[in-house]
Amino acid sequence: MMPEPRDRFDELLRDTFKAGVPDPEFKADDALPEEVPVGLRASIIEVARQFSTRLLAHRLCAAGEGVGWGIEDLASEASGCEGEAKRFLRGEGTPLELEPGHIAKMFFRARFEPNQWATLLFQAVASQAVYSEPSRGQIWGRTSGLSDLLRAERLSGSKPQPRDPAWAERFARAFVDEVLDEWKRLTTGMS
Amino acid sequence: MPTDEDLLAAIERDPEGGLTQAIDRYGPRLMGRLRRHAFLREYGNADVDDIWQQAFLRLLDPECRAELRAAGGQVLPWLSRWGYWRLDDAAARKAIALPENLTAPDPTESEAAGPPSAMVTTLRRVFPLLSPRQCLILRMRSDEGLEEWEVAERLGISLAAAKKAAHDARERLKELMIRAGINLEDARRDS
Repeated sequence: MMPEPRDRFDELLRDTFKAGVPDPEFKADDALPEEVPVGLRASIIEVARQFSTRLLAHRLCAAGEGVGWGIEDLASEASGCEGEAKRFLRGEGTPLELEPGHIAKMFFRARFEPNQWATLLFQAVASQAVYSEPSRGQIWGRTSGLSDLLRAERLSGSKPQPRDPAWAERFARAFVDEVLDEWKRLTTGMS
Repeated sequence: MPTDEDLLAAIERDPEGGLTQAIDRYGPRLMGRLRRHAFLREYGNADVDDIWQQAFLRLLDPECRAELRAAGGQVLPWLSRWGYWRLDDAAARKAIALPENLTAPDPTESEAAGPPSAMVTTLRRVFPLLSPRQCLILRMRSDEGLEEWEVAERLGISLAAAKKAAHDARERLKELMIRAGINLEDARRDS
């Protein structure tokens, strides 16, 4: 049943729909396909790799601002990685530079709920979890304070292939699960 | 041939790979449509490439995917409608003449009719100037009679976000009505 109109404008809207609001027709729908410039195609894929991180950072910051937490405040939750946290919050870095616990703390402080971040975080990680093969025996960067998966990859020198979607999906799901576990610990006061 | 739902699911599993598939499938057709729309409305092609890129990037936003599904799940029409609207909006911002159907109605008509019919007619005319998302939300509320929480559920957004989106859509519509020469005081009782 249709809810009661709140005001005259609501009534007007309903009358309009009752009278019919046809979907507009566009002559351009009949257009023939046109070639997409090669540069544009390359550019969108490049932008897409960072897009989910930017969107996630933007929504996290908006949620934080809503409860009085600015970028500096949120970044201070990632103790020891404040610089990386700021880069992430500005949409320039990657969540992979942070520990899952740090990310969970920022989400928790900003009252940013899993239904708002889980898919975007998965996408951000899946889009960026590609790195070149390290040479034998070489350990890339720090191995402490990383997600279990990333630490294992670095210590073992294992070699995920660039653009291996199945690997990226597995990696990203595991990363999101770790953040979710940390977030649940915070929300249940277990930390 | 993958369905549009398959494409969306592919983007959810592997953002870069799924987006590439969507571009392979619909990129040239969307490019043709946007260029044609810009040509027919005499906007020039300056914004077409950017808007083409932004349209595809929207597929990476989980909220936009929910909106696409709520609008019927067809990728190319959804990308096209948004792209046309963005081209119109960009042109309006540059103060290029608005489409003919936004010319103010005959003032005597709106006064004499003491409104509903003139208002309904104008509302139907300006409705396509809202963003596709705003149209969808107003349709859900005023045509389908959905409650705000139901809109939130369908669009995969919070109740607060759904309320704000519905409010913004109504305000935008009122603004367009005023620009078209309608005195909204006639429509207000308690809004």
